[in-house]
Amino acid sequence: MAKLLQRVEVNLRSFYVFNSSYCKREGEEDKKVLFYHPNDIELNTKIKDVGLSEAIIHFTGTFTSDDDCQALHTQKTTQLFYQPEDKYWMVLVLNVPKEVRLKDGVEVADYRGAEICDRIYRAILKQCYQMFRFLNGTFNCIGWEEQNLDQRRELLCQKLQAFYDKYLTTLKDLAHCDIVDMLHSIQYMPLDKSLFLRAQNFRMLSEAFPSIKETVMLYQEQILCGGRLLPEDLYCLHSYIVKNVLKDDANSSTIAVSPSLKRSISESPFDGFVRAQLAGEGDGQDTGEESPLKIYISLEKKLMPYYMLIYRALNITLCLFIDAEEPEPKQAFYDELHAYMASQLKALARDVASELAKEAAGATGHDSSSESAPKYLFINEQSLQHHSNLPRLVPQTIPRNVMSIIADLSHPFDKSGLDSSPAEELQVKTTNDYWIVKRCCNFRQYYVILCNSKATLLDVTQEARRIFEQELTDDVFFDK
Amino acid sequence: MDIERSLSVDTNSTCEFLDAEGDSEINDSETNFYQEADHDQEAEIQNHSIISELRDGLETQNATALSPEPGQSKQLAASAESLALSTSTSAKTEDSNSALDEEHDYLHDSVWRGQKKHIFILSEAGKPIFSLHGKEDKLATLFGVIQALVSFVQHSQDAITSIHAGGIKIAFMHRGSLILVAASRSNMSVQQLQLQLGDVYNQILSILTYSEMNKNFEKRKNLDLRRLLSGSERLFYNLLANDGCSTKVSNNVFTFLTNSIRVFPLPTTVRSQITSAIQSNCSKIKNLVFAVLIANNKLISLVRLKAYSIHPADLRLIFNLVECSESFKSSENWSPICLPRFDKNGFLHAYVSYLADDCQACLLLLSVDRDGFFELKDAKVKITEKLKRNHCLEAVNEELKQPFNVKLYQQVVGIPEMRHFLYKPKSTAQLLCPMLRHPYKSLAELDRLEAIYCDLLHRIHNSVRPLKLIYEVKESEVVLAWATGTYELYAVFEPVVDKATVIKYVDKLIKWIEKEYDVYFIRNHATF
Repeated sequence: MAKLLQRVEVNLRSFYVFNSSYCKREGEEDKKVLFYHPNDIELNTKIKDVGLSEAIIHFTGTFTSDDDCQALHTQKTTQLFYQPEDKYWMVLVLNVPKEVRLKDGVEVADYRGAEICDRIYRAILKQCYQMFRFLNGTFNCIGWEEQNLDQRRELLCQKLQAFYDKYLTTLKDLAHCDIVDMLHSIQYMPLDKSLFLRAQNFRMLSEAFPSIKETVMLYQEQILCGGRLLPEDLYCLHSYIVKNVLKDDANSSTIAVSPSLKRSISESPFDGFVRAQLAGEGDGQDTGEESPLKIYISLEKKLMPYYMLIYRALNITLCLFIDAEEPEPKQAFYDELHAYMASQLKALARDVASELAKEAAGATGHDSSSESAPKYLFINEQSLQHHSNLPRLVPQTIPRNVMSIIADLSHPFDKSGLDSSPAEELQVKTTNDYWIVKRCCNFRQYYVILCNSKATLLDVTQEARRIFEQELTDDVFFDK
Repeated sequence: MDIERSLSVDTNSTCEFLDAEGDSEINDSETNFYQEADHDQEAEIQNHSIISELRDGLETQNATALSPEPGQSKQLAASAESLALSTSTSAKTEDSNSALDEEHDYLHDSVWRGQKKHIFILSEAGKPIFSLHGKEDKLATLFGVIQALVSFVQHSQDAITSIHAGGIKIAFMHRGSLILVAASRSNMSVQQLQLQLGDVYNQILSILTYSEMNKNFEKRKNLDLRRLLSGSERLFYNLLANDGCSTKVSNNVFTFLTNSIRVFPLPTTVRSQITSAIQSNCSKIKNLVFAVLIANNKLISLVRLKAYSIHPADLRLIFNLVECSESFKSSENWSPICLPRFDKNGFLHAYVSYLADDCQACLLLLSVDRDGFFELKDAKVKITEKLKRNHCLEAVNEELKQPFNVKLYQQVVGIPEMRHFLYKPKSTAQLLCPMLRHPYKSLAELDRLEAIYCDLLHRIHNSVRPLKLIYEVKESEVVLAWATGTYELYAVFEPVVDKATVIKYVDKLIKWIEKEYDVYFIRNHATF
């Protein structure tokens, strides 16, 4: 075997957004390109890349009228395509993993494109769009009031630039993306019934304050109740909160806490309303009263803008959505809300914390997160919840091939399919002696991962059954 | 022996032509499964010609008999063409109503667009060579687009491999001066499509040889290769008909998916009598490289010159040639054939003849001597006489008469819940599969079976994350794939059967195959 000299993991080569209809005549090809990362590249190259993408899309149109070009594979790259809105295409170009080996004294590059699981990265591309839409609305609605097409395009380009320049830097290391990134699913916190009801009761806020259309509550990084938000909106909200609000606990530079609210609890540095200053928005204009964050979600089957107010009490984060058609909420509104719910929310946060402490104390007997213990992942396709003990922060504990195989096995759930896919059971054994057991039925997918070279098919079946029975007792996962 | 000596020098470089799974390199055969393409390319660089070496050996030994001058291969190419023309009795007629679709616009024809599989072959310059559906010259624009895509990506020191869109995969292969493209709606993976494109590419070389094709392209970049291939279209159609897009219900598709061939089941004594009849009548013939006896698309016996073997991909070309040349049945034939995995730069001369009017087994004697016709004809007559005398022809006929092998049938019937299986020993590139029965008798159901096997094979042989075992309970069947150190087994069961029963049946089947191994497989191919 030739000696491995170097391995370069999968990495981002480029990312671009284009719309061919902006090019009205020859010589204006640059107008198609709405955003291109990295920016410091020759315009000609950008135009050529977009041109190839257009050609590929057109070529597939020869055989299928679905207008659904998904991926182009070359020896050195994998290019994922996504058309979120009519005529708007987004393309994510990855450099495939590369291994440089010494063969007979000569360095030979081996491109390992087959290692890449398209689905994972297409899901990431899709999320790139969803996140933009969450914060800016659709491509099409940007600058809709503008009559001049060029200016409209210019406005969109600015928005894209402002958003993606920042977003792409916060993108997770592509080499470590796995099935959970693909599913866009969310971990809910399992709570006992009385606590859960108390959390749910905060949705009643909309009765006392009619301008509040919906509420979502998180405890640390987990969702307590997600209201009527669609799973994909909830996922965006969740990742926004985790990336921009919770992460900044340590680094408070971009977060401003209303000075009128005092910090009384030491566990959480912030308490009260959180006002995030988005880059490029309201920056430097210290007019005392900042505009609340505007986001786009579909509560009534239609994507609408809402003001999102974020309130924190200890480890609880409460998001309140207010119709953006109405005037911006005033300081008095914040104060009134604060007075109304602060103590209740804190009490709930304390009770959840003690409940968790109790559970943790009870669970020390068997530590299910230890390395040798069987791993599992349960997914509810309809609510996009997942429940798992996969050690995601230490990716090396489960070999790459096992994670990729799970991604291969999982079937994509599209909104098109109203019927659940047929019940199936599947067991595979990898060449490095990992077993993966998959079950799916009734819109749920369950995976169990075991590592045991001696086990037989029947042993594994039994062990998997034991784990299913032991872990599938969670009310939240099953009853919701 | 002079030949022997000159060969022995070369044994190292030629052992790659031994059975696919027995590749000389130390890499495990699993990862090697799909790397055949790379092998080919390496071989192309090496550019050595076994046939010319064999001829050189022949020349020193028998200087007056032959004088292989450089112009010879051209002559051969011409004769290859005439062969193709003369035997095109079963040429496809589907597209012959050309007068009607003179103005046909395929790109807006929903039937054309919706075909389950398309295969396109074109030259690097974008000249159409072949299209599975539709007349290729009516598709010039499409061929132009393909050529542009390939060369555009090539321009940035890269190569296009595949495109994926809703429900369709498009695989690309750029080999030598040719671009081959497969667009498929089936469950075949890109790697499997490339395996099929590899077979198509080999088919072209088999007619022209690599060197001849290149010489022609060097002379004229804009060459219309169809001229050189005309008359042999049926070979391509037949080769490509071997999967679900055809109208035939057959097991043929599984041989190329597993990169193997099938063996004609015969009692061991009969097979060894046949082999020794070939050996005894051929061992004296100088310049004979291979003797191949086939019936019903399956191999009865292969006798080879020491140190050489036929790659399964080459054998599939031979099967394909015999299967779609009805004319072989009526008369003996003498034709040049290139076996690209053996030597892609030269022709072997094949004496092809069915053993007897009353025995539909086809004998091919492949020689490097282009004047050996009569000697080989004599050998065939003697072989037939010998086989008649010791009742081997009867045994072959007996087996041919059955719609399927009786013992295999009984075995399969003995496991009623098992619907179908593929068994391939690791040590040989040979495949055992039972006849297709209910429910896979209909094309739609066969399609589904093919999709199941494609999926299993793809996952077991995945180049970066291979699997050892798959057990899957699906809606309409239970499927099992199992790759051990000695064999690969893929089996499909009734959907209601439970796991313990499946294990019991698989165990039973494996034991039976091991017991009957020599009836269904050939362990080692004999030498002259």
